[in-house]
Amino acid sequence: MLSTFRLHMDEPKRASAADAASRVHLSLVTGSAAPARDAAEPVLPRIAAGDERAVRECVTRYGPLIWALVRRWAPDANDAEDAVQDVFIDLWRSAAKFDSTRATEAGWVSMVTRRRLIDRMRRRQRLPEMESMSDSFDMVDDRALDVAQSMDRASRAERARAVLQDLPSAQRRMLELSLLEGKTHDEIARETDTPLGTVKSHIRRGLKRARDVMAGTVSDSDEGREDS
Amino acid sequence: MNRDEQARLDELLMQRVTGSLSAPEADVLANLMKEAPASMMAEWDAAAAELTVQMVHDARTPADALPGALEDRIARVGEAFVRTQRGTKSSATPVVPIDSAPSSNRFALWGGWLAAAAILAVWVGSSRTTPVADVRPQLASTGALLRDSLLDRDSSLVRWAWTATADSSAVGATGDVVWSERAQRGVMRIAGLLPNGGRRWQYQLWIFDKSRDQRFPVDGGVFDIPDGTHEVFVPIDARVPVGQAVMFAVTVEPPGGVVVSTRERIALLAKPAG
Repeated sequence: MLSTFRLHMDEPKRASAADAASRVHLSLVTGSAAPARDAAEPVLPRIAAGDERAVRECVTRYGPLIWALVRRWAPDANDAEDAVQDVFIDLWRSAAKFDSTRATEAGWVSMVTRRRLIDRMRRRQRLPEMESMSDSFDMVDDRALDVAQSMDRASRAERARAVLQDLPSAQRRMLELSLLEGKTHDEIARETDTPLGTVKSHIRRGLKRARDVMAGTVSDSDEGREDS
Repeated sequence: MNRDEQARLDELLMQRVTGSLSAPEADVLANLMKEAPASMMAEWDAAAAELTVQMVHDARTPADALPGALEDRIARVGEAFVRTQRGTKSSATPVVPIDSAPSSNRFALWGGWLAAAAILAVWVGSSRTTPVADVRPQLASTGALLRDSLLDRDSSLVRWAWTATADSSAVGATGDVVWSERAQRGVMRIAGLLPNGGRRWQYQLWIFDKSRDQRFPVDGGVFDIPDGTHEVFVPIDARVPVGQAVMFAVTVEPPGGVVVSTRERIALLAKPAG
């Protein structure tokens, strides 16, 4: 079984640009207009440090993101309430493992959320769970990272948005069905009347494209991307 | 890594990110990752995570607002957790008398599960409008609180009394087991089981699943009965999902437990009455 579930490292922030874009990113999460600058500061490190006041901030800030995912993945309302509770428990437990210099906080929260939802889905399907993220979540060894390829939080969010907008519609749709709605590959194949192999290919290409752009191995304006 | 291996690696990383990786495929991925940059897996995780945030934004509807009452309860649980963590950081004493199987990872899983169990107990307290300030004392009986919470939350769970066998470890032992199929969680309440001080042996729980081969019940974990204790509450952490539990058994095994029990020493059994 795999034992790692790690985040990519970012270099130290360029404060002004990062803050501005973080405000945009944050507004995507809370649904609010651009919040005050302070509100864009990561909240999980404060929770890890024992700041009780940060808890409510965290729930307000990321509740809509988590609930939006949970609602779409859960088979019914009762399961959704259980799931959102599980996700937040994971967040409280693993808050100390988040490093704001290495990922957007919203991205990290979505990772924790999807991880828990995948575990719950696999339990329903009676499949073994994946490795426990909360217990094995470690930051990647600094030596393994190419700092030149890293980027700040805002840039990461912006590039993700650009990648998504640039994806061929079929790739985007199947990524949405998988990442956002929690459909299995088989379910996507049935729902879209697409061969299973094609479904996997679309999802793989879309994710690889996003990974390449965000890891800096290809720019978001590069030509020659894999289209379907 | 050649082109075919790279393609296979991409495929498996995609399956991992989307939750469709089987156990054999996980082994293949682990082997391929030995030849890949260490950051590769993290990069795929991060890419999926950031895309997901953007997708949520694009697809969000008013129904995606977290219900107010639920938001409040979650916050209260989180605040209780923060207070608990502050209070327990200096404590190295396990809160309930259970122990790990051989690997350190298993210990971590038990430990992590217990932390979650503690919070679940607090959660129930919150929903009952019980003040959550006094969290620390509850930790001493985490298993008991988890048991109460399951009994309160899940009317469909099973609750079966233990039957002691003639094994010398179990003379006069009593208690029960509660198990929630929906939550895949449970708690054993055991009184009078012989303490295994010094770890000359350990107790191991087995869960018999109706849909599985009865020769191979699900491993429910190993645990200890500390000296000087009469009644213990042991959370159950099944290694794999349990469909329909039809019987629970506690066996006496060598320290660390076993993968397949010889069933030479069965201490306790719990199954439906009649």
